[in-house]
Amino acid sequence: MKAAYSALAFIALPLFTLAAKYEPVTWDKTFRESGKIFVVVAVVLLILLSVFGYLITQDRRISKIEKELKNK
Amino acid sequence: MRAIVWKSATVLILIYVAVMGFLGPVPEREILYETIRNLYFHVPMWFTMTAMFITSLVYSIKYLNTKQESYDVWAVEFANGGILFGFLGLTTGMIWAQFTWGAWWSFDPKQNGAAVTLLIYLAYMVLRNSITDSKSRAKVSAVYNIYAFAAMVPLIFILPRLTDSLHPGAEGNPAFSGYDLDGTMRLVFYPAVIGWIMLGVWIVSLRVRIRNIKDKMYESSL
Repeated sequence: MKAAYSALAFIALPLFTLAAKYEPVTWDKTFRESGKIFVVVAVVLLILLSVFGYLITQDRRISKIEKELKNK
Repeated sequence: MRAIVWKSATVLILIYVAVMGFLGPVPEREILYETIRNLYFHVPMWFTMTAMFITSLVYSIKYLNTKQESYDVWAVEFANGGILFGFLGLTTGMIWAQFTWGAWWSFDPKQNGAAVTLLIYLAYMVLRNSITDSKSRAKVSAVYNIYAFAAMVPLIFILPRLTDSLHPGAEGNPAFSGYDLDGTMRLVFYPAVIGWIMLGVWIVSLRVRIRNIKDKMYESSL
């Protein structure tokens, strides 16, 4: 089924590019649905969570030192 | 306890922004296409920078009024935070510009104004480090900080709007017209601004605490 679609697209592509000039603005919507955008979301989440984790450990470390200084 | 609440709120808001920023619906625009999502990431950097510099200014004025050293510490660390987010705004803007305006740097009034502003704030740090006496350092740099803020306002918010610019905003508020920012984007954009400002405050507060610990250790060693 997928192959049939891509074959159709291949044949129709030159026609579409001719027509594209007069078409309203659109881009490939499948970028979000099946374009593996979730991979990017996962990568960004990993980076964000690592930064948060780093901040939390620094926060705790500083709190500990603050307590030690207080008890001195 | 209150700290845990707002810090976990920061984490949750930014996770929401990261997920919805990529997966949420966006309006279809020529030239921009999917890069319109940069609004969620590039623009909050500038909002955070502005918030940091305003807070830094407030603490500098407070310092000049009371001569209380802790205000000076907050002023310098908020300026540091502002510089961090300013550079993030500048570099993310350059990447966006390369793929929509066709060049990393086009000497656009907005770009130039932002770059000069950051140089002025970098000079604030250089000035601080060049004065050894802590009292005069605090006083001189507080006065300079007021000047730096007074320079930032025209450089970023006024002059670029008076001339032609590639950047949106020459006709009024940047990126806030109904054309640029529709209702669905606001649901992600506003949380993004709030979340990044909160993260900025978190980072600044950590640096202030480290500075206070250092001062205390220095005092006890005397």
